Amino acid sequence: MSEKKLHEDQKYIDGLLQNNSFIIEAIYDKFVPKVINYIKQNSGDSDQAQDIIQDTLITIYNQASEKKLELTCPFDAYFFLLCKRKWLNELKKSSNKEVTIKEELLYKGEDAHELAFETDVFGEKEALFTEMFNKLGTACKDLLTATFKIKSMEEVAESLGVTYAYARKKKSLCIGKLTELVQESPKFNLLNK
Amino acid sequence: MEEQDYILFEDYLSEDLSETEKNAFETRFKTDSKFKESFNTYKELSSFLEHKFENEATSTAFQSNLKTISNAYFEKQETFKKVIQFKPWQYAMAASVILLIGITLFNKLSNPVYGEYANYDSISLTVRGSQDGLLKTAENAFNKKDFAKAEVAFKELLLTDEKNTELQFYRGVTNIELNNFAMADWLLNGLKEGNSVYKNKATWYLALSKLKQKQYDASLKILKTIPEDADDYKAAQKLISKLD
Amino acid sequence: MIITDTHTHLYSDAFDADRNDMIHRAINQGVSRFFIPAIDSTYTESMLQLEQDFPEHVFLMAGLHPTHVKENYTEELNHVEEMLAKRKFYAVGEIGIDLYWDTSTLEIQKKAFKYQIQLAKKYKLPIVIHCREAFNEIFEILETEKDDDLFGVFHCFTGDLEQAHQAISYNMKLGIGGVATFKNGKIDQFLNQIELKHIVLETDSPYLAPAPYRGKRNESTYIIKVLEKLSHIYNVSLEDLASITTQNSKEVFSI
Repeated sequence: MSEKKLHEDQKYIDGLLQNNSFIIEAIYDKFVPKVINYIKQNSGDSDQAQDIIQDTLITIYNQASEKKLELTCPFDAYFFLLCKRKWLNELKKSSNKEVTIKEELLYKGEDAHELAFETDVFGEKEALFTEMFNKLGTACKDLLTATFKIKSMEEVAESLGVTYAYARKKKSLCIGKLTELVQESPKFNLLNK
Repeated sequence: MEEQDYILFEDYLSEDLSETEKNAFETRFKTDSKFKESFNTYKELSSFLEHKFENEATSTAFQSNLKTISNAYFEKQETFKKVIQFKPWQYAMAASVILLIGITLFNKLSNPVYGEYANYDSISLTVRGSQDGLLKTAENAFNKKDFAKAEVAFKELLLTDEKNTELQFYRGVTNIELNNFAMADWLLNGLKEGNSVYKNKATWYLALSKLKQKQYDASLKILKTIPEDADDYKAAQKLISKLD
Repeated sequence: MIITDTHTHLYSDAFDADRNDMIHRAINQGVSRFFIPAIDSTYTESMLQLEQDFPEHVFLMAGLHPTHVKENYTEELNHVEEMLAKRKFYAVGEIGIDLYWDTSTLEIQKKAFKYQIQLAKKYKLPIVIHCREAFNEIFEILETEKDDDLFGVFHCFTGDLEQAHQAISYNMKLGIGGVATFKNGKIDQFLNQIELKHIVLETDSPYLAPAPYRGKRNESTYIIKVLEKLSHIYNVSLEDLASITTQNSKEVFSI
């Protein structure tokens, strides 16, 4: 990954991560019109476009924040592809009709597609993990929330009124349970292919 | 996977395994594909959870900001659709400015203000011999309304004369003038609950401090505790009638 | 500066390796008064030893911690009562209700809490309250116990402004520690609306170390970080804050 050069548009990713309003507004001014156009030409409206764009930016933020995101292509192409994929998923979910997809060729490089694909998978995984986390029992949810918020297992143990050893063991078992839930989910197999 | 395996995953990730245990783990990882898969998922989940909770606040801040910008952008898009002949927002601006002036004027007329009620003469601090110089400094600064300087002097004086209620009182008033309300209120409260000659005066000034902080209810409550024989009783009643 | 740590478990085994050094470190920094909460009878001996080693600085409490209220709680309460009858203590604590993990012991926790409040009133001592996920239950009990003899400290206060006012209405001071320095601790948002006379400082060592030591073993010296945060919130100097909170602690514990 580090053999490829970082594109100057990395500044948009960094701007999102820093919650920099100027950069976010710039993204809207420069790159959003194309997406709105595409969605409107493909059975969507302004409100749906707004949601897709917001969700995409949040996914990009999450990936950049959790795993580092290194842009090696223009932000334009990457962002557009992501929004497009999200919109097509929406269409698949809501209608069984055949929809005419009006394609727009922007950037022929491999990078944009590869990065967009990675981010897309990341987004789907986040959604799956969140869904499975919410299926855990209250005890596990509370323990994991405490563990990752407080970080010191001793404090967590004290705050829950249990021994350090017990808290640690429970942490492993709760994440273990979560692992099983995720692995058993059909969505997981699709993502890992 | 067994319970034991998940405990092993956790130990491996927290680097709590010995060299031998670590090697055994890595060997099993290479040869047992189910073990490898489970571990990878476990690891991904740990990272996911870490990010989810550690960065919750910044994430939420980002999402909230994004929503605001998104809404602003899309609303602008709606407005540009219409042919703009006049800018209604300009009228709205003018109206709100006028309203604001109106409200401020109204406020000025109706809410009593600290400055109207805080009437103290020049002070002359009781001399006790040991700290003449510093006392004079405090006195002069206070009378000249150089409250920052007075505060420094009072603070030092009180270090060696902790229980001096006169100094405590004037330091309290000084801090009201400096808008250091936490300190002022603490000093004046202490005097209010004590039995010194400054008890009633401190109560009056505590009420004035609350007034300056625009805590009208708190001020009213304190004013009502001032007894009839207090110097400031009449002034207190006047203020009560304005606040009630 | 004289700083008072109104809640610190100096007898904890987390300090076994360097207890004396740790305490001397704190004293050198001005933290010279330590109020020690009890947990249960298994710690009594080590608490008494602590007092013997540092008689000028250590002030003991007697009590049964809500997370240690189990089937044998009546025996434990007897022990508390015996200790209070035998010699001087400065408070009954830490007592209260903890529903974070084990809600099955709620009834006996309530009984233990009420009983110990009676003991405190008998000896005219303040109570030091431990409250987790149990504000309503604790306020309910305090409401029935409210009178001139009920007073004390709500240790490690983590409620909202309204709950703070309610706690104060029962003559409780708020124990403020490391949580005030955490990014999403919440209390730093409204603390400036609570008058200084209601605040005492604490560390709850070895737990809940303030930023930037969060996650590490807490110790009484770190109370300086809490002082710094409050200094910023209230716009009052460190020395004044130390003096004010120490005076408040003298008011509650009568020493």
